[in-house]
Parts: sequence; C-alpha cells; structure tokens
Amino acid sequence: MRKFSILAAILLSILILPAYSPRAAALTADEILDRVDENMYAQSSVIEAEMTITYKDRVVKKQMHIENEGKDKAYSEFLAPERDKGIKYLRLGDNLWMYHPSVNRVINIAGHQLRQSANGSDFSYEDMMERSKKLQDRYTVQIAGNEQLGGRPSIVLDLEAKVSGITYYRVKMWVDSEYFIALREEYSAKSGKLLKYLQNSDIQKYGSRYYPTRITVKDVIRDASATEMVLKKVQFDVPLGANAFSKDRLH
Amino acid sequence: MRTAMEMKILFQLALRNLFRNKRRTLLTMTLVILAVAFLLTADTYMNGMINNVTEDAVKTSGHIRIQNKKFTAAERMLPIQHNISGYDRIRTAVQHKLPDGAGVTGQIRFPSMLYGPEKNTVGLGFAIEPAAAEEILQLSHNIIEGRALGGGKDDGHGAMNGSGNGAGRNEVVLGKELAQRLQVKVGETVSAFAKSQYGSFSGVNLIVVGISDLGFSKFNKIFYLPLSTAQNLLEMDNQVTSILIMLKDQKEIAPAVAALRRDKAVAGYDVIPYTDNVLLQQLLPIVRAVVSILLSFFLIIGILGITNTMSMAVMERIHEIAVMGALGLKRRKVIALILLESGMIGVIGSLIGLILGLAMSWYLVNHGIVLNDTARGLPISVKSVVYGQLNPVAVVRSFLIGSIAAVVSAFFPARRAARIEPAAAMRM
Repeated sequence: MRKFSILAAILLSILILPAYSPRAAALTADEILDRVDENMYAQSSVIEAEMTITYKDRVVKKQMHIENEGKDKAYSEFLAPERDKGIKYLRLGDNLWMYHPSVNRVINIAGHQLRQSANGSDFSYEDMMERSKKLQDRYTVQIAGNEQLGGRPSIVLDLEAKVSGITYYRVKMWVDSEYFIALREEYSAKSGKLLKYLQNSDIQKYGSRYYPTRITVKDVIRDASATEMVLKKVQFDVPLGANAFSKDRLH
Repeated sequence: MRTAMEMKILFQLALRNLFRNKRRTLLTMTLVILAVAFLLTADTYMNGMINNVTEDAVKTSGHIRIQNKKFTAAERMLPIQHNISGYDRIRTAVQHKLPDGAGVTGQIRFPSMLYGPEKNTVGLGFAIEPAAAEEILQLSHNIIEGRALGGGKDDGHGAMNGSGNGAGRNEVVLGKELAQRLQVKVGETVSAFAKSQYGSFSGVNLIVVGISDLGFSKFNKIFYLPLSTAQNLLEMDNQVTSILIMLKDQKEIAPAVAALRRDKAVAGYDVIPYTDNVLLQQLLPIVRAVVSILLSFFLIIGILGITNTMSMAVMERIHEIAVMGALGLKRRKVIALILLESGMIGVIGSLIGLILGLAMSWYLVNHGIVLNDTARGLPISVKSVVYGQLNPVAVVRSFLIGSIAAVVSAFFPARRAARIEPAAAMRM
C-alpha cells in the first residue's frame, strides 16, 4: 500500500508539476494579467510584418509596416501586394482613418465597419485597435486552472468585460506560466458563443520583454478562412517622429 | 306571335313605369352607376399595382435568373463570395439552351459606400453589361440627366449577347436619390468603396455620366456601373452573382427553366423564374383577395339598394298589380314586368357606370396615383407613382355584373308582387 502511494505521488507530480510553475504560483489573476500587459504593451513599437490570409484555396501574403505609440496611436501601411500597396491606416484614440491610393481619398472607418474584416484578414479593425490597449483596463479576471498547451505549462484565465460596448464579452486565455504570453485566446460573446480564437507562438525576447512573433487568428464566423501574421522585425520603445501619427501621412 | 305581342306590351309598360317615379328610378340607377364605375376603377388600380410589382421583379432579375444556391439562401445580405465562376463559359452554354432572341447577361449586386465631394451614403451597386442594361432595365428611358452607361446604345457588341460590358470605363449612373444625397451632378466624380469577395476594402473613382429615375424608391438608391469595373473592384474575375435571362415571350419561361435545369453547365446552381419571387407569390393572392372583397362589397351595396327601391315600387303599385291580376295577367308576366323594369335600369345604369368608370380608369392609366413616402415604408418595391392598367375583360365583367345584379335583386320584390291576391290587395 505504501509502495502504491509513493508511485501515485510520483505519477501525480509528473503530470501536474510541469503545469504548475513556482513563478506563476505566487501570483494573483490580476498580477498575471498585469505581467501579460507588461509584455504586450509598449510605449512605442515599430514592426515589419507579413500577413498570410487563407480563404478556401486562395492564399494571399500581405507585407505591412506598423508603428504604435502608447495605447491610442497607431499607423500602418501596406507594402505589398500590388493591389493593397499604399493603403494606410491611422488610429488616434477611437478614430480610424483609411487612405486608399486607388481613389486618393481618406475615409473614416466607424460604427459597424470597425467590426468588419481588416483587409480581408480574420482580424477586424477593432481587433487591431484593441490589441494595443491594456487588458486590465477592459476586463476583470479569474484563474480557471492550469493546463499544458502545446507542451508549455500555462495558466488558464477567464476574463469578463468590465466596460460596456465591448465586442468580446468573455475571453479565455492560456498564459504561458514562464513567459507570461497568452498562448491561446478564445473570444466569445456574452451568450458564450465562440467568435474568434487566436494563437501566439514563436516567442522571442526583446530586452526584458517576451513577445510572440507568430500570431494565428481564426474568425469562426468567416467560413473557410484563417490568418497568420509573422512579425519579421520588431523594435520596442524606439523614438517616433513628431509627425508619426499626423493625418498628413495619409496621402 | 302572341307572345311577342305580349312581350312588347310588357316592355312598354316597364318603360313607362320607369318614368312614373323618376326620383326613385334615378336613385336605383345611381346605385348601379356607382357600383359599376367603382368596380371598374378598383380593378384597373389593382391591375396596375400587380403590374407594378411584377415589373419590379422582372427589372431586378429578368424573366429567369441563375445563381449560386448559397447566394439565393442569403440574398438579402448579398454574399458575393457565393457566386458563379467561369461566367463566360456558362453564359455561352446557357445561350445555346434558349430560344432565339433571348438575352443573357451577368450581373453583380453588391453593397457599397459612395463618397461625393462633400457627402457620403450607402448605395446598392448593380454591375451589368451596358448593352444588357438597355434590354432589361431600359435604363436610357429613365435617364433624367446625362446618358446611360456606354452611351445608352448597343455599342456594337450585340445587345446582351456580346461582351459589351464597357471594359475599362469607370462610369456610373446614379439613382436620383443617391445623386441627391451625395449632392453630385453629371460630370462629377464619386468614389465607390466595397468589400471584395475576400473581405478586403477597395475603392474606385467613377465619373457620373447619368442620373436615373426608375420610379421605384428602391431603384433610386441603386447605382449602375460596368460589370468589368465591379469585377475588378470586388476581385471577381470572370465571376458574377447572377446570370439574368430575358425572353421575347413570357410563354417561353417554363420550357426555358426546364431546359436549363437539365443542363450540366448550370448544375448545382439555382434556376429561378421571376414568378418564384417570394414577395410576388405572397402579394398576388392578397391583391386578388382585396379585389374580390371590393367586388363583393360594391355588389352587395348595389343589390341591397336595388332590392329596396324595387320593393318600394311594388308596394306603391300594389293596387295596380292587383287590378292587372284581376284582369287576367298571369303571375309570371307580373314577375317579367318587374324584372324588365329593373333590367332596364341595370343596363342603362351599367352603361353610364362604364362611361364613368372608363373616365376614372383613363385618369389612373395616364396620371396614376402618387405614393411617394407611403411606398417607402412597404416591404415590397412599389413605384412612387402607381399607374392603372385597364383590363378589357373587367369592362365586360363590370357591365354584366351591374345588369345581372339589377335583375337578380328585383327578383324577390317581383315574386312578392306576383303572389298578391287581387281581392286582398283591393282591400289594402
């Protein structure tokens, strides 16, 4: 009987311990979310990315240049393919403008349009806008458990919106308990209906910060599509010019 | 010979009776006139309304349309990703299955944001081959300013059957309401933004070559552009959302639908005759029911009125009828006398009613009734002016109903008169 107890204890420790990091164990749910925000939120960033959009049997690759400052300013420009080249977006707070070279015109994207697909991807414009905002400002959080995800120990967090008018009322998040990066995020409506899920991988270290360089997103509502974004070049906390987020850039 | 003589006397008596109480005769005749006139007018108006809705269905979809089943299932959302691929090949195959003179064209319907110099608004894009727009929509007939796409004429490629899709032309014809909302005029440029079938936003600058007024409030929120321009905008190379077919004769619809449904080229796609339009199917029985109720209403009013006045006439002449009976006039002759009298009122009243009804119908056919704001609230597309459509059968029917109803409604008073016992009537 004693032998059996020892064997059971060993088996249990093999199964549980990898998912139970002592670094994460001492943290509360808010503190874990805070650590996630610390990784994801930067004073400024400049990113060169490639977005691969798969829709049925069609695969399109789009090259992008992205600049962010704080949670309210973002600028992005499509560099390829030819059809999208020169499309620019500028976000200031809750306002989003798009410049389209084919018509040489700047239009304001607002209201329900924000929830539509951004350039044919599984990201919506709103997803792009929300991504630079801190999670703690928008959600309350609880720890739901510990799991292994893709061979990595992770803490499962349940997030619930604490501000009104938010698209994804619930978020379930698997946070890497070593790097404090959300490995998987599931976005649901208030009813519990799954709307979108996202996976972060290829985590790199930039100074003291960990950041995923491969993001895969799937809009469940969009049939037969998936989007993968690979960050080719990432720079954090770099000084951006005074006119970096001026509407003058939208030409 | 004797019977003819008797009939002549009865006829003379009936005619004389008409003028004995002119006021009562006039009252009865007025009822017949009004019933017949309103019957005919109501029929003309309802025919116009049915024609209005049918015309919309044909103008939107031709006599037959072919489209992806998933597009049909969610048509209100216009899911352009559920389209018809290999349009050129399918169009050729479809053309071979149709009788001579049939027109075939591709169409893309898509939602769009339109931007003028100052204003912007939402519009419904109708991408179509310009030559086909002439044949199906007769767009040039409805241009109130400027011209139709591609000059509004067959541009040498053959109406509907050729490739006259205005390739490379960034032209647009705006519905009147869109032009007003955007505050643009012919010659100015608007930008159309739309999501491609793959979800990416794209735009195109279009020169306003014309402004159309198709009468339908829905159609005036539509803008027409060349098919090739929309295919480029929406990443729909050689793809369309619908293939529209216009036949020379409506009788060709059923055989053509049957032939296409057997054709391998369109296997898996919906082949829909315009008569399958759900709203049309729902609306037509309602309109027919309304016409029947109106018919019954006018008929009942007429019959009650005539029965009433003829009963009064019988009561007034009860002594006279009794004397005639005492002198040997048979009962059936009494009945014939009363029926002849009311029949005369019916025929004369119906003729006058027809003249009045035709005058009112003429006004409806030529001037129509303006619905404007009322029409906007309806779940169906209804022209802002509904023009009547005169049905020759309705003219004959109204006349017969007026005349026969007058005779039928006089039957009970006539029978009552015939049953009067001469001796009893003398004492009354």
